Amino acid sequence: MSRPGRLRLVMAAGLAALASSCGSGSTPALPPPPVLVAGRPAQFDAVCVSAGDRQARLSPALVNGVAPLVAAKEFRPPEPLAEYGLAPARARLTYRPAGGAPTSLLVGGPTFDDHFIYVMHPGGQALYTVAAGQLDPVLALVGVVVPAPK
Amino acid sequence: MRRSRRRLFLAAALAGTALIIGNVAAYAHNPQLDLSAESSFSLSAQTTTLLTRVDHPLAIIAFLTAGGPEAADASYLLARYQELNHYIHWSVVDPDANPGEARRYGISAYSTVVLSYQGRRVTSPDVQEGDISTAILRLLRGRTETVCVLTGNGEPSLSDSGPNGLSDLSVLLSQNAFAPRTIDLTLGVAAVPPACAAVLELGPQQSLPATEVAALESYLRGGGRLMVLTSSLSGTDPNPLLSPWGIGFVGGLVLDPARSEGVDWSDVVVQDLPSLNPVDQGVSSLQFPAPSGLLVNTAQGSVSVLASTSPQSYIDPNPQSGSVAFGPGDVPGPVVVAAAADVSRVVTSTAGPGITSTHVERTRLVVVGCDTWMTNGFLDNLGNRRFFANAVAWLTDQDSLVVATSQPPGNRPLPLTPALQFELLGITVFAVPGALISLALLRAAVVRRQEKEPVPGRTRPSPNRRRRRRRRR
Repeated sequence: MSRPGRLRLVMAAGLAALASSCGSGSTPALPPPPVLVAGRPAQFDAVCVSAGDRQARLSPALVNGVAPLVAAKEFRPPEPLAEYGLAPARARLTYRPAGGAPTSLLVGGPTFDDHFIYVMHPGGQALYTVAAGQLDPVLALVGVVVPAPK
Repeated sequence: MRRSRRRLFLAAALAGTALIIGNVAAYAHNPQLDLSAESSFSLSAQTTTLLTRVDHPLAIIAFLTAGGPEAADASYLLARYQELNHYIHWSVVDPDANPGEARRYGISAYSTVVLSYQGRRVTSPDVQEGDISTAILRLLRGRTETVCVLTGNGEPSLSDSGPNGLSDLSVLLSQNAFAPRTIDLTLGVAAVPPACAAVLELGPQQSLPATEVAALESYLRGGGRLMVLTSSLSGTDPNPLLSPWGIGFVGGLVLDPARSEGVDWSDVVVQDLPSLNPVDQGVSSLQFPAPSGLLVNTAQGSVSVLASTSPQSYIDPNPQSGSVAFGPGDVPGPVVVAAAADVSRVVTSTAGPGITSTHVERTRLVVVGCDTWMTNGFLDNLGNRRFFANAVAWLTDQDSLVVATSQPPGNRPLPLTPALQFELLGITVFAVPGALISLALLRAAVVRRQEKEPVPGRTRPSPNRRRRRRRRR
């Protein structure tokens, strides 16, 4: 290979190295919202809510609002569970599917702006936020009041 | 064969080495070049100046949804702040994931930014440069100055968001850590409240009552700070207020055929800002619609010209006549349209029997012969916003601390004044083609000269051969 040819190859490699090391600068995309409880309303025999000694079965209209249940956000809690209203939990939501094992969710307090409510699986590591408007009528059945969003 | 293979191997090794060195060098260094039209990815000069005043740890916490695009933008912006001043430390906190911290700082909305400095704490409503710099300014000052805006004489309102209103000006004042307060000296006992760090008379539409003029005169004599924006269209005469300080209001309508916006000669673009006064700092041009002329007594030494029109401009003392061409009675330019006076004096006062104290009283005055340039319709044009922010900062002794960066990126109008049109025509039609033709002629001359010079050891080709060679070319 001639001297200018070699020089060109080295220069091209140098430029490629610089180009490859430049950051892409793309905006990080948010992950898809996690599904807490999958399944259509008809797939559940009953959905119940309990708080303390109070318990209620959800009407079909209310079941439509919480099945399936999709979270807005998922994260590992950096603060003690008490900060999220989950130690102890304020309420428990139980889904009983036809011919399957029931699924439970612990319901905590509202987020800082009262737009969402903290939720977690019993014994789970992750915390989720669910729209307050979705759980508000369900929690009202057992006397748990959710403040209006700020 | 073997030799050429060895060479190929060597070239590949060299290329690989260059690739590795290039990557290592690029990883260790992170140079950035902002090529965007308005330097959208760099902090403004005002912010850069502001950050030189931060000399203690300053913590910035932005409460945002972690991992989202807003958090990425905020991180980028806050990293620029930290690059300019290493006393600045920042973090992005997700208030959903950290409800205890959000509660501790009293956060009730996303995008809230909390800044802490030397035991003081302020919040910013958004993660934008203008908002964060304003918050830093408030932290550095440690207090908010009250700026009193006069009303009662038909002045535009601070709450009016229409094109003739001053709502944008009110926001600009707040962003610069000034609390605008309206005062009406036409009612009750006319006296400027002591809380006023400066008084602004922003375009009165009727003559000021004698009691108000007396109150303002007294205020100025006592070391007051006053801004007067007026024009001949308003029919007011501010001279009793201004003349003791070396500034006179000539009135009339300034027309500038060389530097005006569009075909309206009275919509003047001011590009001569000759003063070293901080009011002119960072301002390259202003748009003054229908300005009037000022007369300054620069012999006093305390008066400086802030802005003047081009030499082709003139004052038409009778604009109602309908003729805009320069005629008899018109005053030739350049015309002073903005001026400042800064007068200091030592005052000795008696505090008690045998006790005297001296202090320096400093009167500052900014006068502009135009009363519409700071309205919502014109504030964002050219350097008007910065000029106003500079003027208020200078009046209140806050010269170097100014935030005028709240303008969102938008159109960048080029004032096509007749002078600029002439320049553009000269560059595009004469300068650039002329340079290309000159280069071509130069090259032709060099080639011809080389052809004429005999090469040693070579016989001069015959004229026929030379002709053939030229034809081939």
